[in-house]
Amino acid sequence: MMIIAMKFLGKSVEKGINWLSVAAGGFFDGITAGVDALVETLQTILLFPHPLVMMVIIAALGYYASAKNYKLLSREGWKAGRFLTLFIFFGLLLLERRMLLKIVDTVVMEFDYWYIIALILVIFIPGYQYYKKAKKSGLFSKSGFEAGGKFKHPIQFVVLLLAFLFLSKKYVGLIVMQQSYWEDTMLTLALVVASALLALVIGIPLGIWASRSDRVEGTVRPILDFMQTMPPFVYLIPAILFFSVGNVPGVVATVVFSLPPGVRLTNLGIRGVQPNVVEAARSFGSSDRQLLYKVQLPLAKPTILAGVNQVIMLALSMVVIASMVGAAGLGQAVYKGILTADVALGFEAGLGIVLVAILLDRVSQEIGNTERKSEE
Amino acid sequence: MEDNTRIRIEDLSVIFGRRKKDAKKMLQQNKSKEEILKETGCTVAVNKVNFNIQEGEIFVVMGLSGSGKSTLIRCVNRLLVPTEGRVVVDEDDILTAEESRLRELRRKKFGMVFQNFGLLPHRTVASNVAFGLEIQGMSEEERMKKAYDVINTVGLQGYEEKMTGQLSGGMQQRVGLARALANDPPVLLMDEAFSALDPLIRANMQDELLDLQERVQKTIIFITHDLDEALKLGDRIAIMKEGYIVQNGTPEDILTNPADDYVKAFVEGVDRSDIVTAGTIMIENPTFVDGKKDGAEMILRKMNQAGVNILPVVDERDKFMGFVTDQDTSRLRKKEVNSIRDIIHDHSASVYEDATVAEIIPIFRDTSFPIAVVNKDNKLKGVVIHSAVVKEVVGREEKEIEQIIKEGYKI
Repeated sequence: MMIIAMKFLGKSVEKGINWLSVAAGGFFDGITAGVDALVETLQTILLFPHPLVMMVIIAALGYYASAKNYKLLSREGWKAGRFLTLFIFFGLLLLERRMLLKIVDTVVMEFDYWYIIALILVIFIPGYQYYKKAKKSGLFSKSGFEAGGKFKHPIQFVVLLLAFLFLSKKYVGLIVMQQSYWEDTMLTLALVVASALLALVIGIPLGIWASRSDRVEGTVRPILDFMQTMPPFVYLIPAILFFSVGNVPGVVATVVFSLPPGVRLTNLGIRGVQPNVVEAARSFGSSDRQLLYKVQLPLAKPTILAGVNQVIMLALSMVVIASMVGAAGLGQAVYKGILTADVALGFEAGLGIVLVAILLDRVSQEIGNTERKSEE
Repeated sequence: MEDNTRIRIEDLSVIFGRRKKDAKKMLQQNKSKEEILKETGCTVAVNKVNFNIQEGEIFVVMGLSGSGKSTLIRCVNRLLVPTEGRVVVDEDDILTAEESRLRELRRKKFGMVFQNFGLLPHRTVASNVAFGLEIQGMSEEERMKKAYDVINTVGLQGYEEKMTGQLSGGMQQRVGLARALANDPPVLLMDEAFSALDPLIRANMQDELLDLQERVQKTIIFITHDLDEALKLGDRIAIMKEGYIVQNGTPEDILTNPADDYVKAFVEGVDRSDIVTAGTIMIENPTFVDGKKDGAEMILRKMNQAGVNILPVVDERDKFMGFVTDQDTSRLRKKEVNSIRDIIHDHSASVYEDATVAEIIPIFRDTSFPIAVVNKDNKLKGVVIHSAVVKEVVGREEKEIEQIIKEGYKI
C-alpha cells in the first residue's frame, strides 16, 4: 500500500513544473515579452516590403553567400551563384500565388499560342547548344553527338519544361498553388530565425565554455544528450504551462530542441584546433581572449558554421511541430491539413517547408564556404 | 661562474601522471624512473636537470625521442609547468611569475620556433610574422612594416601576402623563424626546429641560423635529436637520456670525452674532423731539442729516450724552429755537417691549437714530418703525429692503427 501513497516520477516532475510556473511567473513573463518582441519585429520586417522586393532581397542574400569568394559581379561570381539565386527567387515566387498569377496574366495574356513559342524554345535552346558544341566535329557524326548530345545539367531540362508549362495557359495550373503561402512562409522564416538566433546566442558561448574545461563538458554533454533524445513533442507541454499558447512556447521549445548541435560543434571545433598552433600562440604571450578570437574561433569556424547550419535545420523541423501549440506559419497549414485530411493543403504547405529548408540550408552552408569551386 | 648567465635551470623535474605527489616524494628519495613508474604510474619526463646558459650562446639539448628534451624547453617559458625546480631568466623566476608578468615575458623575452611550425593557416605570411606584435597591441601599420623587414631577413621577400599553406616546409619554417624574430627577443627557443625538413634544406637552414646568429647574437636553446646538427650549431651541448642530462659540454668535449657508453654510442660514426682540434690530439709537452745548447750526442740520447726518430727544435725563447731527424743527427756526429743549424728542417709546418683535423690533413699530404702545434707567439705547445690524425678520421683506437700499419692493411 505504500506504493500508492508515493508520488511517481512523472507526477513529481509535473508538480515541480507547476510550482515553477507559479513561482517564477515573472521570469517567464519577461521571456514571453522578449521573445514575442523579437518574433514580431522579424515578422514585421519580412512582411513589410512588397513580396517581390523581399524575394529579390532573399535571392540577393543567396547570391552573395555563394558568390562571395569571387568578384561579386563577375562571370565567375554569377556562375557560382546563379543556381541558388534563381532557385530561391522562383521557389519563393511559387509560394506567392498572387504574384505568380499576375505575372502569368501579364506574360501569357490572352495569347493562346504562347505554348507553341515555348515549345520552340524548348527545342531551340538545347538545339543551339548542341550546334555550338558539335559543329567542330561534324553535326551529324558520331563524335559530334558525343560532344554535344548530352544536356550539361538535367536541371536545364527541368527548367525548360517548367518554362513550357508556365507559358502555356492550358497547363499553367499544374504549377500554381491553390492558395498563397507567402505570409505563412515569412512567419515560419521569422520563427526559425528567431529560434536559431536565440539557440546560437546561448549555444556558442556554452560551447566555448565547454571547450575550455573538461568538467563543464562532462556536465553539459549528458544534458545535451537528454535534450536531443527526448521526443520534441514533450517540450511543448511545459512550454504551454510556462508560456501559454502561441509563438512564444513554440520558439522556446524550438530553442531547447535545436540548441545541442550549436554547443557540441562549437566545443568540437575549438578542441579540434591543432594543439601546436594553440601552443605557438601561447608562446608569444596571447591572453586567453586573444587566443580565442585570433586563433581558436577563426580556425574552428568551419565546424562552428556546420553547427549553425544544424541548428537552423533543427529549428525549422521543430517550428513545424511547434504549430501544435499555436506557433504561426507553414506548420499551421500542415497541421490543418492533418486535422482535415486535406492532402492538397498538406502537400502544398509541406512543399513550402521543403523550399524554406533548402533555402536556409544552402544559404547557411554557402556562408561558411570559403573555397572557390574548382575549375571544371 | 661568469656573470653573463642568461638562463638558469635548477633541479628541474617534470612528472606526468595522476599521483604526482607520491612520485615527487619518490624522486626526492632518488628512486629510479622505472621504480616510480611501477609504483605510481607516473612518468618522469625530466629528472633534476641543472644547467646555465650564457648570453649569446647556442645551447643545444640533444636526445632521442622520449628523452624529455621537448618537455624541458617548454618549461623555460612555462608552456608546461614543471613539478619541481626553478627556471630563472635574467632576474625573473619564470615558474612563480604572475600570469600577467609571464605574458609580458613571453611577449618580450622569448621567441619560439616549433617542429611543426605552428603557423596560423588562415593568415598570410606577413600577418603570421606580425602575430607576436599584434598580441602586444602594436598598430597594424607599424607591425606590418616590421614584419616585412623580418621577412626580408629570412629571405622570404615576395611571399608576404601568400597564405602559409601555399609554401613548402622549408619556407614555412622560415616564416616560423621570422615570427620568432619579429619582436626581437633576446632568447630564442627552438624545438626541433629543423627536424621536419629534408636534409638539404635542413643544412641550408642551419647555415642561415649560424649566419643570423653572427649578426643578431641571441641566446638560443636548440632542441634536436640529430647529433650532427647539435655539433654544427652548438656552442655547448647537453645530451639527455630518459630525463637526465648525461653530459653537458662543448662539442669537442662530447666527442673526445664521452661521459658514458650512451654518449659514446651516439658519437660513434660522426665525422669528427671538423670538430676535433690540434690541441686535443697533440702530444703535450713533447721532448724537444734545445737549438742553442744541444749537440748531436744529446739529440740522439733524447730520441732514444723518447723512442722516436724525429724531434722538434726550439730556440732559447721556446720558439719553434723546425724538426731534426736521427739520420741527419748521425751525419752531424760524423762531422759531415758543421752545426745543428744545418740539419734543422725549418720549412716544416706548424699550426695553432684550434686548427681542426680537417685543416691538418692536407698539410700531412705535403710533409713526412709531424706537425708542430704553436701558440700565437710561435712557442711550441705540442706535436701532432700521423697516427693521431688517422685515428680521428677513421675512429679507431691508436693500437689498432699501429697494428694495421705494421701488418699492412689486409682486406
